[in-house]
Amino acid sequence: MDVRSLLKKCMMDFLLIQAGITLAMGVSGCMMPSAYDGITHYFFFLPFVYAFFCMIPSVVIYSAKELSIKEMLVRKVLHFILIELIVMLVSYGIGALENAFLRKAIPLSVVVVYAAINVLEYLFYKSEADTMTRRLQDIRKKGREDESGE
Amino acid sequence: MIECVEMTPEFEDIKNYCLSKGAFLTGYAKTSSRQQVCIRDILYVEAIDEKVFAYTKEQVFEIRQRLYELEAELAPYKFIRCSKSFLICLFKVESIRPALNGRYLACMTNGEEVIISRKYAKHVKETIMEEL
Repeated sequence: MDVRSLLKKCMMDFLLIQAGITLAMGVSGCMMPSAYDGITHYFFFLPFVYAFFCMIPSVVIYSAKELSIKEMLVRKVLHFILIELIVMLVSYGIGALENAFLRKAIPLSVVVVYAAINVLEYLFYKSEADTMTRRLQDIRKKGREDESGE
Repeated sequence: MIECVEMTPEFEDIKNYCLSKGAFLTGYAKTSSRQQVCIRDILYVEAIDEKVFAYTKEQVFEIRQRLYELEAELAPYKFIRCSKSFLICLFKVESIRPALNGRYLACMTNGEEVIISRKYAKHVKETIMEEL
């Protein structure tokens, strides 16, 4: 991955994390409204704050050379651990961990959002790969026909 | 393979005719013996350090050309750049499956897998879809 791709990925991560955090806050708010008692208008900036800090671990995915699947998997795991750590640190900083419900809901929502994004990403690329495979089969069939027609 | 007891001018003509039928690259096998490698037999080409290797189903040949030169030369035979150091033949790709982080794995007809990097994935997809 080159630097330009990394910056693009960071921006994409920022938007995705922001959307995920907003959704997670909404869901946890519906499940436990009392956890959000007495919130101020600063609360609405939290998705930006979380997304900004969670974007930073994306640098672990960066590599000038092409990584093998195993190497990438290791970096993905590291990426997830760093995001979990950062979310907990930010949550601690803003005092969200004082609430017993949020102490469980926050790390769990990170797992759910991270897994959901990776599953969606996999399904998207799987559908693209299947389309290319079908097309390739047609190309190979055509190649064989051309060869036999020579 | 054509075998003869001795190389007569007639056989030389037959040999030249056969070599001109189909396209070849000059490759060097492990023993450093110079050989003609039929382009149709090449599955993919890989650049390792300063050397370029062409992989057929059973053999590996060193090709003494730069990868970008081969990319241009092999383009009519449906070879496409899929990462910084690989060219794959589209006719020799069995299937494609997703790898991590926006990359793909091209499964070649010999069972080997070649990474299609994120940078070249869009180009590979466009080429495949525009083909035919």
